[in-house]
Amino acid sequence: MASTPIPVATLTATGGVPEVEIVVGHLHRADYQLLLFDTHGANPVGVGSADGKGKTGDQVPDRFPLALPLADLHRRTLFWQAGIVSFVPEGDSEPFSVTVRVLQDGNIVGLGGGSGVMNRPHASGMFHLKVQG
Amino acid sequence: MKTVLLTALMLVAAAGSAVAQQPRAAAGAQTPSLGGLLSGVIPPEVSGFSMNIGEELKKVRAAMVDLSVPDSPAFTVLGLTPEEVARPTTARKLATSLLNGVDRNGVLQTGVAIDTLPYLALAGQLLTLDDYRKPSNYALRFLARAQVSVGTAKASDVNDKAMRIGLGVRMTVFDRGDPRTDAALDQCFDDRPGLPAAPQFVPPPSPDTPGEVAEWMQDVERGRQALQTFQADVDSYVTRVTASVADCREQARIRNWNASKLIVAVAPTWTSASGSSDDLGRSGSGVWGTLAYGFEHVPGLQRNAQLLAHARWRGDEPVPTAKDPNVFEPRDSRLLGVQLRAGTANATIAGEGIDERVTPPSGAATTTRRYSIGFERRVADNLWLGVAMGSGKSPAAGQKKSAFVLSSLKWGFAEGPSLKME
Repeated sequence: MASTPIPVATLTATGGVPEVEIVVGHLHRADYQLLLFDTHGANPVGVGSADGKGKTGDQVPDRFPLALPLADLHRRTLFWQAGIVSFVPEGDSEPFSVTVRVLQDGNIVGLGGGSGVMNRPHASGMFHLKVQG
Repeated sequence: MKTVLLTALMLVAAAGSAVAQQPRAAAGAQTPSLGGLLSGVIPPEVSGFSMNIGEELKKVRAAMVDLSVPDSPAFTVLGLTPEEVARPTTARKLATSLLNGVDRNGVLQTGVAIDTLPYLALAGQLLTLDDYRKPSNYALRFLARAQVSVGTAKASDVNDKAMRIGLGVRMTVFDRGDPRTDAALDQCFDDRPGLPAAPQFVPPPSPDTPGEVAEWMQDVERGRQALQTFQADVDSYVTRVTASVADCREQARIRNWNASKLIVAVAPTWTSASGSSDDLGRSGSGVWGTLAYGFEHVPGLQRNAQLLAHARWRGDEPVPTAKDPNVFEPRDSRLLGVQLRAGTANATIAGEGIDERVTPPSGAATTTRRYSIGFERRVADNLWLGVAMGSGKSPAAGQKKSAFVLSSLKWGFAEGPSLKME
């Protein structure tokens, strides 16, 4: 995770409330966590709930607003992690994919995620948030 | 018959009482079993009595035809049991596997065996569990479960170049045991080890002003160290969660063994005399269908019983001739079957009825029908009353000729169950 470049989600200061969405493919289930760190990369707070945890497959949308004033989001870091579970034992070579995107006014302003095979069913990553304009 | 069984049960009670009054045998000494005692008191001439009812019941179980739809119809229709099967799970791997089946001159390669879920392979990244579980999304569930198999084999012909290719499509029309919609399995996953503790620090974005660089570099270093600790926690999490998830899936498999479902499959074949993809011609096919009923919401049966109705048809299936096993001739066949399997700790019943019709290329079609049923009930510790009954001697398709020989009602006692249920 640390060796790959951290994607930057560029937000518009005059735009709407940004959102973050996590999409887990291949019909897998995932438990996930979304955390927002301050400008020093510390003091994480949950996104969507106090601990930022959720799961897919429960018919609850996996899309959450970043409920801070836009100016306060500048230089913050959005961290995500997902533990993936396969319902069908297809073997360790079965693929998984996690897509995480930051949206503002319906537009994707940051795109990240991870993919792999089920012998290591975990993915994590970060976004650096930048507010301009 | 009823009188005979009632008499036998009275003897069971008497024999059980007699055994209870006997002193415990010393360790290692031969103790006469209750079944053995009963065999001594029931005259062999009693109608249908079998000294070896356990073996008769095992015959009934062994002779039962596999009424499931083949997992890979293409291999079945070609008569293949490939040692290595390519199971591509991505579009790229699927394309590579298919391309490997034909060389650059269009000549089919032997030994191709591909089994895949094409919709998952091609669009897997976009398929979410939430969409799959929506009641209105039947089409997604149907496509996601549809399985395609492709196989090639040398044709059963003296011509070395002749090739056969089979394409199988296996479709699950509905499945009440679908693990992806199993709420109990979901709950089991909920109870598995939670996510690893998130890092307390992460590397922050670069500063806007040069004056903040020194502090930022310290924050970055602190974040990097926290991420290293986090990765170690992830390793531990992966180990713990893998074992837990496998256990959940195994529980689900046992829980859903008899779930109601309908599966159908079709597998056409083509033959090329030259081995080239240019002159492929249709050369037979297979169709299978199995409807399983799991007695859902029926107390006493919903976990323990399954009723199967099965139909299969094979057209132009190459089979060795009676005169020369190296010479093949095409034949048509169809099989209809019904099977019931039910079992608890104290009673098991297994029965089936088969109707098979075979039409050889020359000569008249032959129809064979047979039925068999086995039942056993624990009447005391280490004593089971067993009943086996059947008629017909012809083996069903794919069965060994000696598999089924029962031709009348037989009953007797055994020291343990003989009809093993899955």
